[in-house]
Amino acid sequence: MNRRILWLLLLLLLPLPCMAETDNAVEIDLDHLYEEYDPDAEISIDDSDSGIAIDLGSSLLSDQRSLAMQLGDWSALSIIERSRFTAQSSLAGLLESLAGADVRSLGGRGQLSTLSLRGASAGQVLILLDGQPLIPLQATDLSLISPAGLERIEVLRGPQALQFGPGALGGVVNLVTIRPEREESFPSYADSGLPFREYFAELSDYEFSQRESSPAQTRYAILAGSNDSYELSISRTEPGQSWSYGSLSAGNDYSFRRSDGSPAVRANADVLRHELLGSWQSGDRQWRAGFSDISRGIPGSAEFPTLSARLDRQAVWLQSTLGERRSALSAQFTHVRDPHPYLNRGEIDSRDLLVHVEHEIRTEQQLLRPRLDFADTDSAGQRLRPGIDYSAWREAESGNWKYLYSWGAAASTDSGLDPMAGIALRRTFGNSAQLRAGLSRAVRQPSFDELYLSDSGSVRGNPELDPEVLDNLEIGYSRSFGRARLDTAAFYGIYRDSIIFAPVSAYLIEARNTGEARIAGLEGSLDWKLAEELWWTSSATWLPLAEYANGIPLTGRSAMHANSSLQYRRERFSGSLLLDHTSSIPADLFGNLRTDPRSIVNLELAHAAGDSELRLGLGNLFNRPARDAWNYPLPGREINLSWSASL
Amino acid sequence: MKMRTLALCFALLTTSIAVSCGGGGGAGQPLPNPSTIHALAASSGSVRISARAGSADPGSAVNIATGGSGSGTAAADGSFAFDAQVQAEALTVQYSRNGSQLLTDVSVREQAALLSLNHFSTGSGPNDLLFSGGSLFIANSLDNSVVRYGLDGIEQASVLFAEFSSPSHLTADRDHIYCVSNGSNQLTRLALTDLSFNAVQDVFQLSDPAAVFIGPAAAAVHEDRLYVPRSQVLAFAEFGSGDPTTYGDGIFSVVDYRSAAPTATDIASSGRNPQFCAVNRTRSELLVICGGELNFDSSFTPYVTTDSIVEFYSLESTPALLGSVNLGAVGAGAIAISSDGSTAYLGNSLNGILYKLDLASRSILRGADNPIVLTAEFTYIGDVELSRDDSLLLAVSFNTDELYIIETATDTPGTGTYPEPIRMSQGAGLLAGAAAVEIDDDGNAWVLNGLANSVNRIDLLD
Repeated sequence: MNRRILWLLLLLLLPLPCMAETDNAVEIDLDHLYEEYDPDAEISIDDSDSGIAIDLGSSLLSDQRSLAMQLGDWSALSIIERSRFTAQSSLAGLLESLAGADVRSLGGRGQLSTLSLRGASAGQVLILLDGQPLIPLQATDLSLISPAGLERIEVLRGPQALQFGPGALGGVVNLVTIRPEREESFPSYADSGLPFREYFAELSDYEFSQRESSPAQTRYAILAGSNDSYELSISRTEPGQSWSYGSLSAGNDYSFRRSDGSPAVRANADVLRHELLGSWQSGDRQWRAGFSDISRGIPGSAEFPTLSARLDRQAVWLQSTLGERRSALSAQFTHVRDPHPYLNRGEIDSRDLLVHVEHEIRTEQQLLRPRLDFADTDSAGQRLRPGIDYSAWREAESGNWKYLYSWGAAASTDSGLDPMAGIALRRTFGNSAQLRAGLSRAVRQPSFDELYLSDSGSVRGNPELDPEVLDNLEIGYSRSFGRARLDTAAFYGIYRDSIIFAPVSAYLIEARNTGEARIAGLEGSLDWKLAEELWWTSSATWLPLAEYANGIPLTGRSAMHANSSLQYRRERFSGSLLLDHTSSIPADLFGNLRTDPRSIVNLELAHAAGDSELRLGLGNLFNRPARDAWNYPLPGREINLSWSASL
Repeated sequence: MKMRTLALCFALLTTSIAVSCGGGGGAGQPLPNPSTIHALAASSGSVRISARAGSADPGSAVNIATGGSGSGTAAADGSFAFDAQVQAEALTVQYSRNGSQLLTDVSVREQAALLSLNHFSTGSGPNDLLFSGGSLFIANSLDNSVVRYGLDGIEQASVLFAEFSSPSHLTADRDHIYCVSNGSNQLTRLALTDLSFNAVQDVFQLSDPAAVFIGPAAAAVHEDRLYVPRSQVLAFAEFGSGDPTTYGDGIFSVVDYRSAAPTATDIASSGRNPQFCAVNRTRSELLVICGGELNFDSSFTPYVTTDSIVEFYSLESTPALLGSVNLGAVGAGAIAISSDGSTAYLGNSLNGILYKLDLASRSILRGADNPIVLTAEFTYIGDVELSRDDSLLLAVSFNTDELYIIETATDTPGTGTYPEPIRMSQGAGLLAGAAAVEIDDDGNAWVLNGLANSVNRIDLLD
């Protein structure tokens, strides 16, 4: 505890530059764009009176032109802009609000959280930081970084995710960090929840800043909350560079009730995290770098709340982009130790280093990515995996329909060559509706642990594993109704050779390919501007089928996840009421153990004065007992108070 | 007595009617006969035709008259079992009894259909199953509970233990359930008469500062004395190192509940790592099975370094050693004693093998040189159980998810009514972990799946 307070005090006392500049804001009339707007075309604004020339296609939106954005018309794309982040946001909490998404958590701020997309497991979802792996070759821990250093979060679900290479079976999440010379905050179409025309009507009233002024801005946020949690973030953008720092300290020693109603206190779930993300321009080359250091206890489930294992993890990211070429390095070092394991079965002390290097060349129609993975782990020894990913895509048009053909392959020395292919088609109906369909075959190659794990308790890898294969079908429909927007999709996937760690004897758990599994479901999101001050956003995912061929349900998937929020914004005051419902979750390999359904209500109230904002968050407002998969108790009622300001 | 007389008269009457109608004695058309004959289809497609002792004349031929082909010969006890090729869902078996040719129509059943998979779900990490007082009791080692279920799978009551208790083994007498928790080293006595099952009568704490893992295991109870075997691990080897675990001298504790405050007496066993206690009520003896020092190599393959010894003690507060049987370094484990107290079957904690002892002479009937081999696959026998009439031996194989049903008349797997082991597996390549088996008053078997967190019911044939 003393260490945490010391860190926070030290950071608060840091002399911070305050170099804010006055925005040179001007009004731009975009009315003329309404009538002939084509969502596939780039848009230019040339306002001679103000002296501003903005190309919405290539300049303002250039930051947003990631692969996920390119594929957004062909698949289900959700984008969470920075404008939606609050000082109380966590990455897991933001992602949980999306259609198709479901987060599993050990409970508590900063504790391990993983993401499932459309019923795919956490290991079958690719999570990227500016296009490079957030954690190479492992299911990603969403708590490794906070949203403080992010510009936006892109989530692409469905068949077209194969174009990111192997590993994106359920979809791909791309975390985009804050860029230098960032333009004035500006709601993207994807985030606006508006029909195209309404969206540009909004833009016409928007105040743009002159590019030359590029205001430097530093933003601070401080949070103090129940369960002994404190969070600090500082982000700064200025011409040529941007950076952010975040720190989290959380005790997470909340109380909960056991199955017989008796009280218990959760222990060994504390978290201490520091993170630093930066981006800077050097000539035409853009650099991005990041570092995260997280130390936390590994808590037990509700009936095993006092385990003693701890995890320390450091991760670094570095990448350089020059035109179509991007070179990146991701590395993480993990140290797990347990001085008093259950039944005194010898001290656990393991160290794992994973390094991923890639060089990506991406043109308008293809992607080539040589890569090299290296592992030096106590559990799997030293391993090297050179590999290469290639994908290409072509668009075609026939009548009212547009087509996208994709093909490619992933190859590596220890997994062989795995081809992938897909086709998508779409049709727009005026400016208000779009119908799309997609079909693909995607693969995920086994990780080093899944192949080679050999010295980690009684858990073992399996060098004989085959890659996972997914045949994926999606039909999607989007439509705008007045000031509402509806996105829906039906999906069906056949998973072959899914890899899980399963008991193979009384003494040994081993990675193995399982039988065929099928996942089918519906997802939908509705954004509705009920009134000028009142917004309603909701998303739901229904998985009526998520099971093996013989009827055994897939572990950790909930049949229904719904997230709905009502937001009120008026002058200085804003508030939001959020309801998140998750149905029963199969909590063992056979679905015989299930968690109870849970419904949690959160309330946030904010008051803004100038550039500062005071925010009160009430989590799990009605103090409903809740458990996540594997019987992990989630926090009861939480109170968080945060203050954020721009200087 | 009157009922027996009446039944005898009825039997004679029906027999005379049959003879008068059909002309028995092997002459003319064979008679229909309602004898219980089973036809169980195996996964291979062949059908096992069988009948219990007394069904046919010893040494006589048994044939498939209609519906298929195949034949066998009745054994000396009048039972028969042979495989047939069957094309229909029903067939007619022709055999002779008391010199008469008889016909019995038999419906073919899939053996797998005897299994009610996942009859009900348990708590987390179930380790032991006990049938007592018309209910099933399950000790869940991971969520630290003991739960009482009706045979319909409905939970009736439960008791939650402290975290890390790891309730792992159950035994019962007429009035109590005794639960051994190998995490907390506690023995918990619960009132069976109280259907609400929420009365913890007392908790007895075992302690031994010399041992890092006392390891109380499968206890036995007799006249308010609980006999608790203890592993006595002095130091665990590092996981995956392949180094041996350090065991202390074998101990079992006798906990005497006859006084207001239970007292314990520790008895040293000559063997290492006692894991099972059992009471031979007919012979008034306590059996302590010392499996030998169990270790794991670097591939987590178990092995033993010392002999398996079955010790025989008097049933006293301070048991006296009466004798012992050394099976060699085989890893003997779970035990089932016949109701007449004459024989015992032992499972193996290293492989799919059973041993058989003569309890009267304290000698080995089927030992390491001639074991009963259930399977050659890598597994261990989680539990063994004898049917009420001792005619069937049930054994569950953990790593292969199988229930073996063996007729004790032959002690030969796969030769009796049940052509093959019954798969407990749930499919999808997932191991359910058949850990324990019990037989209820109706003669149905219940198998606890330790990894699948469920109970399967198997309808045994009459």
